[in-house]
Amino acid sequence: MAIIINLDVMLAKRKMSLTELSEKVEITLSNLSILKTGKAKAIRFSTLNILCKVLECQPSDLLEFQSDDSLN
Amino acid sequence: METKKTLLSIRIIYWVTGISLWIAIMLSLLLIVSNTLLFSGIVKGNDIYSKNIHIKVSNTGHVHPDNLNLKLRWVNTTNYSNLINFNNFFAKKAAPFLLIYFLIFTYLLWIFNKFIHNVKEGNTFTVQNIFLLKRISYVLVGYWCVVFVSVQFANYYFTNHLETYKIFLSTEHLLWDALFIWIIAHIFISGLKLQQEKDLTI
Repeated sequence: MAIIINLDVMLAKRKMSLTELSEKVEITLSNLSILKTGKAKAIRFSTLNILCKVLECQPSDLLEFQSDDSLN
Repeated sequence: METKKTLLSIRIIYWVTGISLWIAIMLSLLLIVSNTLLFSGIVKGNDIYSKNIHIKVSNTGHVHPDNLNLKLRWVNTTNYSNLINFNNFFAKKAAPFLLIYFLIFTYLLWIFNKFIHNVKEGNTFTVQNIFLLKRISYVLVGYWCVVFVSVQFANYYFTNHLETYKIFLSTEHLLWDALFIWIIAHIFISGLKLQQEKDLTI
């Protein structure tokens, strides 16, 4: 997939666990795991909004585009 | 955790299907036993036969109530009629087909029961349900084949032995049903894709 979610990087920067984030953003742990592992097909603006708010970052910090050539 | 409440109509369909399935299983078992008895020679098809209904006219006359002229006929009737009047030869030809009908019908009910159970549990758009729907449509085509062959078979024997008898049985609706269910299975494939997309949208 060309869009990479750097949730684990942001969690490490903020020294926050996934469980802690799950409690703060009120999204289930399983859904956050889907997001973290890159299995998610889409992300809602509301989810992106709350993640940026809690992690004190910009959407560009969470989402990154990588072309398929660079992945190979 | 949020619990989904199943629709009453789905629950009713599930109960009715369950009851029908058990009745079909019982009838299938009964047919297996009767087939075994028939082909082992313990029971013969013509063991139970009917006698003609005898009507004997004993007296005729006229009555005149309210200036009307009514003709009356007094009759004696003797009724020995039975429901089963089947030659052993025909019984042996018909019984296996009847058994096959019921076995396929029971199998169809069993598949449908599994499908409606999944729907009742809230697992509507699943891979298993798509397979079940497709299997129903394929079995319906098979059912049509059996009915078609048996009607041809019956016509062959009846026209050979009874000369005037001919069976006409409309079976095309089974093919239409199969096609309709096959289309529904493909709609379920689209439903499954949407469901997966919804589940993976965070």
